[in-house]
Amino acid sequence: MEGFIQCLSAFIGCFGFTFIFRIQKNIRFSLIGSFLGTLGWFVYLVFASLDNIFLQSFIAMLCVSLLSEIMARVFKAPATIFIIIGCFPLVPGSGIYYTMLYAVQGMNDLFMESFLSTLGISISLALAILISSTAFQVYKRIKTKNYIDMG
Amino acid sequence: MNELEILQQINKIGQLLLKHGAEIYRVEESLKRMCEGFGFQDIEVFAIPSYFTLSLTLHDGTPYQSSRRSRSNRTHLDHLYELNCLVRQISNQELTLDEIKTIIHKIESEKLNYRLILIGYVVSAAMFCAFFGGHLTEMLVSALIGLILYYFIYLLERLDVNVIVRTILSSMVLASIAIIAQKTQFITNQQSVITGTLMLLVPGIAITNSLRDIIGGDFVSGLSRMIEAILLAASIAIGVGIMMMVLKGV
Repeated sequence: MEGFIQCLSAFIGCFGFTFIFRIQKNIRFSLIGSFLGTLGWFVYLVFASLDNIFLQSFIAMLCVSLLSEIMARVFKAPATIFIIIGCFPLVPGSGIYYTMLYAVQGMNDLFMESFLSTLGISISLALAILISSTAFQVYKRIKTKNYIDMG
Repeated sequence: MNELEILQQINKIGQLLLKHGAEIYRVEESLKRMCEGFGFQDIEVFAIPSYFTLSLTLHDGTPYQSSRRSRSNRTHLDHLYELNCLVRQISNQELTLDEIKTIIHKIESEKLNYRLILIGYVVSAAMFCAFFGGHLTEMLVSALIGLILYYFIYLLERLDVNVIVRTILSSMVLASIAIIAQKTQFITNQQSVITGTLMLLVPGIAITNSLRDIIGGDFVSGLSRMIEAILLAASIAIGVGIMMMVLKGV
């Protein structure tokens, strides 16, 4: 039940973000971006049994960014549009909060722990975007047979 | 066809692409493809997040060089999409100069619907609060914070306040409202309100674009945007932290 509420609020929240990033005419992009964000969070929850937030974030973001690239090809639009919207539920917002809370309260062990986990999640997200974008770049080169001349 | 006029429009497209948040490789590639479409020779483009330069040889052999600066960058994904389509059409030689001019003019003169952006702030603040476990009263407070943040950020942008100071001040505002609401027993889950509303300040675009720049091999731009993202994330944390410290004893 909690998961359902989270997915629903992630969808509407992402949809709100599309207005902030000024998608006002192409509502279909807003819907797809929000859907990808929700899907990302859903995947994150599905892999909860792994009990490893870094791996969960990585897999979820990999799904989001791969689908974003596919959508970009389908709609002939920049993939950034979908990735920017879709990454929001996975951004470690609560990590920033707890890091600061522990820092203020002077709990150095907990501070270090949450700081490192926030950093780790960010790196996992970054790695996922890196891998999927590179994969599509390579795919494009192979498909168009546009190899770099090693002369 | 007048070459210089075409080049002027191409420069304008490049500037708009930078302004509305395109990746560096997209700017460079778009400019290059458009110029190739018109049959210019020796095309070299170099871009960083706030600047690009374009040099080429015209059909009669004279060299041409231009550069544009784009200081006030503002993400606008609608325009990014339209510009992307425009670039593709121009590279395929589907448009005449007048048509290009009309489309660019249409993009430039388009009025933003600020009310929708305000709705976006309110809705996403409330919904991300629910996402992090807030209930109805928490969502209400978050929506209020979203409303205040919209006007606060708008004001600071009008005053052209530096983006780091802006982020610190905005996160201080959101944290102080949330903490005060907690202290007056209006809400019980302060964490959900703060995390939900600070989502509005998270530099998502800087992170995404910096990574995609690095993939494209533009390490200078990628690093400068990554530093931007790290600084902004740190300023959010600093702003929230300051208010936590100040309001601790209240």
